[in-house]
Amino acid sequence: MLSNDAERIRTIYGIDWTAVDARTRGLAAAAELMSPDVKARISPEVGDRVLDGIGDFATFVEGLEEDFSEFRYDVEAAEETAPGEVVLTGVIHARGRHSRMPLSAPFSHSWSFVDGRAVRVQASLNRQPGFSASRPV
Amino acid sequence: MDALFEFYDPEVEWDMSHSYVPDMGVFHGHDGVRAFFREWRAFFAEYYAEPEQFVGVDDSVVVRVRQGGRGRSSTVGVEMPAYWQVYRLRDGRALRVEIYRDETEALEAVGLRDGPSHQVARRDHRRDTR
Repeated sequence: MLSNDAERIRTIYGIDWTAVDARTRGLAAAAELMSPDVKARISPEVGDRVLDGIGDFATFVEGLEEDFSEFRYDVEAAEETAPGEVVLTGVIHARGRHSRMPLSAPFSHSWSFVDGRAVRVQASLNRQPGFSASRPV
Repeated sequence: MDALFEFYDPEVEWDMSHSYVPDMGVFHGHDGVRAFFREWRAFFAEYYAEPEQFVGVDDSVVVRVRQGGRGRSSTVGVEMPAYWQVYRLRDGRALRVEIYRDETEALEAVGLRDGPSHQVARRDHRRDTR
């Protein structure tokens, strides 16, 4: 059985972050879930970019709308790897805003909690071999 | 990009009507295809397109392709589902390029009625791209 932390994390997944109403609800849930100074590294393929605080996280999800007309992190598995440590894996389902192409990518997000608030979110590329092995052209 | 357009006949047609976005229709000539490429690439800060498999039949070649990249604003890495390009060649240049979301439909378009199980001139490049 998953802990309360793991169950609370799920409230900000499965949301279409490009839809205004859903994003508003998602950001409200994120504010409840995350520490104000949370550090989130959610795009590891671009190196050292770290979202610093809940404000940066909000900027990130609001920016998704520029690239995508749909964007969801859909969870396939959640595991509590240690007390206060939860790993979620799944698939990003998205659609390009201009091309309208269906797009996807696997994700793995590792969450760290202190006193019931998320203080760190770390993404890894280990479920993304196709992308990480490919060369940009 | 210039080398690519040397391969495309000046009257090339780029047909998206069997793709994941069929209402994009058909793009005509170098100018039309360039405009399509510009629009297509606008999303990506980084972009890749990798051929994974080639099937040659007479003057046509079917290519299985994967492509993806990073969103320009979001920096999120994403990939499209695999798709198939059918090149119709004349005098060594591409006269027509048709994009298919379905392998069977792509193979049928070049006369391979039994679809993916057909064994002709197939070269698998997937190993080379990893």
